[in-house]
Amino acid sequence: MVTVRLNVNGVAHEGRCEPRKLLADFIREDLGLTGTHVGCEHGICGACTIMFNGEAARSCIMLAVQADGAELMTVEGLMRDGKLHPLQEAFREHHGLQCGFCTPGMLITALDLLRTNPSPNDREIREGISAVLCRCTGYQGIVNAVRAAAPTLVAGR
Amino acid sequence: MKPPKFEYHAPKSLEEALEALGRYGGDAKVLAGGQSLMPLLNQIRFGAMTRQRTIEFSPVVAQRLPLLKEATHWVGHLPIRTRGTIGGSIAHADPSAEYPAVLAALEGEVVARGARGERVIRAGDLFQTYLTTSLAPDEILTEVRLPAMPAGAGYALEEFARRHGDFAIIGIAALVVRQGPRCTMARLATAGAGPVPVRLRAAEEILEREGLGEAAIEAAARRATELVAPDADIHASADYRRHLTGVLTKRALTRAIGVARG
Repeated sequence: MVTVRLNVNGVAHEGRCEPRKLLADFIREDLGLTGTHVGCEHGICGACTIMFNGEAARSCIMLAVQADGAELMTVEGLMRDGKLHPLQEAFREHHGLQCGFCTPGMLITALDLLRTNPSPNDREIREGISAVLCRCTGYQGIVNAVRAAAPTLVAGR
Repeated sequence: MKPPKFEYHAPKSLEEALEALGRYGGDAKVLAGGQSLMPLLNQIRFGAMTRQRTIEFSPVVAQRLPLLKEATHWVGHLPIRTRGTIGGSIAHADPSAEYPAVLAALEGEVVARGARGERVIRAGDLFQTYLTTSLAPDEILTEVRLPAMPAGAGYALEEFARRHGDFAIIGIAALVVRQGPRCTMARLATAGAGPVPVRLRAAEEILEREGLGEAAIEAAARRATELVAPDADIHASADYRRHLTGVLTKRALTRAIGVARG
């Protein structure tokens, strides 16, 4: 067993786990943060995407032990003072989710996209969110949500 | 590319030279005629753990190695590039991956370090077969070295995959240096067209001999299909891959020539 100390959504955590434990499972099972979803477990579907030291990364193809000392943000960290993040608001407003399974990964991926490219065109949005698979195939609503959120995020800086 | 800043000493005697070398330890390099050393000053060195995301947003890469930047956009997706590294991608030696093709096209090299010391391995000597390199089991790839692309060089990476972000069914990295209609240097390397990245030397020679006109591009693309021996797998047949090699060679060359200056 190995000790892992990390910061998630501004809260310090410490846990002990086997070296083989996936970061996604550590977040869900050891920290109880089940907002991060696990789909394919091999880095394709993107449902498990989290912010790792401020950059989107797949938590299913990282070991928890690799996250020792890291700062993470999961979907639970998006809300502030009981209010939805503007990106979450946009997803709600523009019907950017159906079953919601891919949504945590979509939100984190879209947030990283908008941080690296604050005013993407539709092609860039589609390329950006192609990192996450939506099995409801509700992509148009997601594209609309990301497009609508972009200026709000720029204004909120 | 202009050399980075360095201090210059012109010792008058061997004793003086040795004294200076001793003073700087390993930080000094002897400049003789400079015909090998000077081109090395145009080399860009990546620590093996340099993340693909860092490469994607690096102004140095954008300016000196635009082919590498373009290739990076084809590597998975942004969240993948957050963790993926240049050294890892090359040491993993997936023949469908983009970075090995770029290393081959640019004639780069890697540094391997083991308990017995360090050695430099050229791209052509590195890839052995699927997922297999000439790195010894007790060696670690520590550095990737790529020569800066000549200013004005045309470049393109064309790829076909079922979905953006997947490994290439076929990818072609192209580099051309032109002087008017003449081609002074052409480089073509494949991804996905066999167990290792393939340099399409005979196709490059057609361009260097016949220039950059449409007929030469056609001939090079045709030759490319003869130079590869792709395997079939669940993603595509060997024939299809061979066909794509020609199609994408033509597309890559056309686009590379379009952006080449000189």
